[in-house]
Formats: sequence, structure tokens, C-alpha cells
Amino acid sequence: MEQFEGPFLLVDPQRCVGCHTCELACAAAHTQAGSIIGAVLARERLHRRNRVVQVDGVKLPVQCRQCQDAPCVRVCPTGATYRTETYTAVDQARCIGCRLCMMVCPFGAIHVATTTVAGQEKRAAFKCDLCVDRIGGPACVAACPTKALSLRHPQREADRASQAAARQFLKALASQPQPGS
Amino acid sequence: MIHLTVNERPVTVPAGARLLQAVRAAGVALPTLCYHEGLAPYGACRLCLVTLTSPPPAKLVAACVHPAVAGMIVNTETPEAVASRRLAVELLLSRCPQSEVIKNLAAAMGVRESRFPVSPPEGEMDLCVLCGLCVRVCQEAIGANAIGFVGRGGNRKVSTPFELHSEACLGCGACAEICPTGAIRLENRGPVRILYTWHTRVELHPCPQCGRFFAPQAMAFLPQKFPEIDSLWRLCPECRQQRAARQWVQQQPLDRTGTRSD
Repeated sequence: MEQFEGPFLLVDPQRCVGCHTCELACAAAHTQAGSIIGAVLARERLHRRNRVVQVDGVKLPVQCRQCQDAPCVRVCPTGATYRTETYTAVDQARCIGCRLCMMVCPFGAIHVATTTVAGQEKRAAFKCDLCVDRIGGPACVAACPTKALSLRHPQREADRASQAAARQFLKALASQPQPGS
Repeated sequence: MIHLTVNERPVTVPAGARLLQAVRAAGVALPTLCYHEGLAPYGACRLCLVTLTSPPPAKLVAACVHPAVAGMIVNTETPEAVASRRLAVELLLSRCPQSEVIKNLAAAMGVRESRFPVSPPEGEMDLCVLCGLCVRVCQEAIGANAIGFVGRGGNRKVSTPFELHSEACLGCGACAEICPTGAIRLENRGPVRILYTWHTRVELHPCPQCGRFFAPQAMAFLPQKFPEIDSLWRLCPECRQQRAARQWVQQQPLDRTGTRSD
């Protein structure tokens, strides 16, 4: 079995209506205030880590895929982008703003913007961290009105797929004419 | 873990930590200019001077470079430490009187104006406090070594070799992003990224899809190290998102009309 398989965000493009609620929820979840209005009143900066894009008439949010062997982690010269057992994230205090992670991300899921770290303004990389500090999981999943986003665990998905295959096999077996009947 | 005392408050920091981590863990907001968590400590700005009371004799040390050892007693608010930090910020203020960052730092420490009238550095480097962050980030983190300190004493400044266009510069812009006073001028003007302070122009590749100039040509080595981005390293992040979204959509068994071309 592959080690350390972490969860990832799955998007169902058929359910996404392109309302950008996930972007707002993402920006709000990563502020001290916890809400858009609270952050605006406290003059906090709002940054979304995901982005709703439109391709061929279909809308869907794009965010970090939580690569296991992540290029952004390999390229980071200061170890600011790191991988734990289940997710990749950026330690903005260590980030130097060199944009190398932005250059190597195959999904365009990282951007560099101004933020406040420990009371000092600086430019740092932003990427989806699956809201690991948030109780109840990713804010975008909770906020999506059409349930187009879901947090999936690879092992559970594999279990589900094998159960479905087994069920299909049993069904096929039952529908076959019994020998001797 | 190391246990020590900061301003009569017990603090625990991991092994290998510096005094600055202990001071910050105690909740003391000590200002710094030359310290960055992603780089090796340097001790240039002297704004983090604290009094190390124990082990005796008591001495002033720069918290960012001094290693934390178990049992140390640190005091950030002794008259000597406060006066030394004020003097340091006063000297910085005399060097960079126009810098908003230095002015705010000085004001926060109760320094209105400097008693040391010196002629500030002219031209491009009038905001530079010689903290060395740009030099260190280019050397330690990026490994390009495009810039370094030149000159001595009052003529010391940061520049490229012979103050000419640098071939070693990748155009990543980390020096400009990390500069605490915003002394480094970087501008993306069409197909070139101009680093005015370093007399350097870096050519940018246009994004093959939208034409926006994004990837510096000097970063052409990246796809060799990262084969997975070989086909897309010239794409801008927005077009990469489009590409990722299209790949995902085309794998979906969509049944809505007009959503699939095939």
C-alpha cells in the first residue's frame, strides 16, 4: 500500500454553478475574524486560495491537488513549503517570495501576495492547506451550496470502488443461469 | 527542549533555537529588520539587542544570533538594552531619513529625529539599511550569487559585480520581496523584468496561451529538474488553472448538452 495517502478536494463540475461562494469561504476562513465582514472591518487582507475558472462552458473551482511528491515542496529553497503526512502547506514566516513554487506548480494553484506575518507586512506564497486548523474540515466544502466540492480520502475511495466491483460481480453471478437448472 | 527565563517569565523553546525565538515566545514584540526565519541569522541591524543577565557577567547580545541555552535569564527592558536599541534605530534613521519603515520603527521606540547628521546614500539605494537580506537570500536560498556587498565603510553598498548587468540573476525577485524597507525597485515592463537597483534586465517568456509575460528566461533550467512541468512551464498560473480544469472536465462523464465538444 502507498504510504501517507492524504485527503484531497474533489470537484464535481456537473454540480458547480460558478457562484464563487467557495472563494469567499476560503478567504474568510483564513482570517482572524473568520468572516468577510469581520475581516473588512478589522482591515484584514482577504486572500482566496482557490479560483473558479470557466472552461468550455463548464465552471469549476481549481485549487491545490495536495501532490504527494509535490514540486513546490521540492523546489522551495527555504523549506517554507512543506509536506506533512497528509497535506502540503506554506509557512509564510519562512517564505522569501521567490515565486519558484508558482513557477513549478502544474495547476497554477499558488500565488504570491502581500500578507501580515507576526505584525510585519511581507509578500508570501498562498496555497490551499485543506483548512487543517479549521474544525469541520475545509471551509469551501462546507460553504458550497450545491455540494460540488467534497473532501475525499484515497483509501476510502479505493475501498468503495472495490466494493462496487464486488457487488457488480455478485449481481452478474446471480443473474447467470445456474448449472443443472 | 530548553527552559529559560525572559523578563521573569519562564519560556520553553526547541533545541537549537536562538534567543529571539525565546523572546517572541514570551510575547515580547522585539522589532527586527535583518532577521528572516527562512535564512541563517545574521545580526546586522542590532534592533534586537537584549541584556543577558545570566550566565554572568551581564552583557548585551543580539537576540537573533545568540543561541538559547538552558537556564539563561534574558531581560529585554533593562535601561542599557533599551538605550542601545534606540541608538541603533537613531543611526538607521540618520542613514535613511526618507524610509517610512525606519521612521515608524523609530517613532515606536520614541525616537523623533537623529542626532547624527550624515549625508544619506544617494541614488537608487537611499532606502537601503545594509541588512544584507537581499545578498543572503540570493546566495543562501536561491544560490544565484548575483549581488553582494561592494565598497567599504561609508561607501559600503549592495550591487552586482562592477555595478553592471548581472548574467547570474534569475529574475526571481526574492531580493525585492524580502527587503524590509522596499529599497529594491523591480518592474515588469512588457517582455522584460527590470531590476533598476541591480542594473539588470531579465527577459520574460510570453505565456503561449494568453500572451502575458510571466516566466523569466533564466529559469529555463527548471523543466530539467522538474520533468513534470516540461510542457507547461511557460504558461502563466491562470492558464495552468484553465488547463488543469479542462483536463478534469474532460475526464467527467458529462451529460449536459453543449458542455462537451466531442
